[in-house]
Amino acid sequence: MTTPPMLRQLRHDVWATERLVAHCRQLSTAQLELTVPGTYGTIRRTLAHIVTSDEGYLTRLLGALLHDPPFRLDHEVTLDEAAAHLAHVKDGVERLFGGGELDADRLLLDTPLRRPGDPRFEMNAWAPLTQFVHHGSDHRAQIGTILGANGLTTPDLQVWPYAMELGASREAKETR
Amino acid sequence: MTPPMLRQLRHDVWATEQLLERCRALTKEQLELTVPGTYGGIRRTFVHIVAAAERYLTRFMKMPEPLLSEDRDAEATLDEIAAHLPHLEEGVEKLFAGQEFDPDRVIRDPRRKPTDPPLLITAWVLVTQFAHHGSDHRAHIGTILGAHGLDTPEIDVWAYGNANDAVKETT
Repeated sequence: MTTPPMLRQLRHDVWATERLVAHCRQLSTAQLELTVPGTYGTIRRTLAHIVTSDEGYLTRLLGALLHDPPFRLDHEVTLDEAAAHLAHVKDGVERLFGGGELDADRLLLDTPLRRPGDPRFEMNAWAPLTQFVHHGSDHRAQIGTILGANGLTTPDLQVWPYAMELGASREAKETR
Repeated sequence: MTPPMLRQLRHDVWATEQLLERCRALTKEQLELTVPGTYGGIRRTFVHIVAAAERYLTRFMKMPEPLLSEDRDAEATLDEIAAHLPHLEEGVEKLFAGQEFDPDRVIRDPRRKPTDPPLLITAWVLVTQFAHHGSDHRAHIGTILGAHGLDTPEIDVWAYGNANDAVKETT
């Protein structure tokens, strides 16, 4: 059976965040607090923001909390904590596409994460789905900039190495 | 139903357009600004985003020639870069028009060095990279603008959804 392209996209996104978290485990506590102007903030907070946002998009799309209490940026999130929540993100992505291609035009009326007094947003399912991917690449790029600006190595998070790992991009056996 | 992957690619091209429009207000000197850890200057990063997007699409279809090239068009102006955006828009629509897009199709991709064996790339890899690559390098431009105290436009999907009536605040 064909895997929906959007599921491929989300799987790459989660893989890239996992790989970046693994890379950042080699950093010291002080290095995790590095930042550069024009980015979201420190490496550690940016990783936490990526993962809490991913959980937020999935909660809206699935119409149910991934766990209770939800993961929010209301405390100093450690790398271990962010990594542990990536497992929930991974599981949520697979559940979202459990029945094959999802109905991206479906209207989502609210999110279980909305707190009393917060505005309510209605949106088509494709919006949080598309935002999931855009948002992850956007903030991972900022972390890449922080690493590079501080003379630290950056992992290759493009789709090429991911596809190589899966055998979805490979050299032909013969030469032309 | 519009395929979700088409929505993703439409947003990608829209975001590049919005960012490029915003950068038209910059001076020549500002277009050459950069910060360490990014791809390079703002203008060259645009060349790279658009040239790469055209290359991804050429694996699926014939694109209008000449393609934008980082080597040949390193000094391209914003107008010259923007002239390629309709090609991306058309290419993305064409990719999903008619019969269903087959993500599992294997594409033979010749290498730059003719003696190297060609690459066999599954179609989903190219569309996934298209979306990832655009957001990645637009983030570089956003960082450069922010680091120099310049305004950055809203190019996330909330802004795009608002513009397309797909995200609405209700009372």
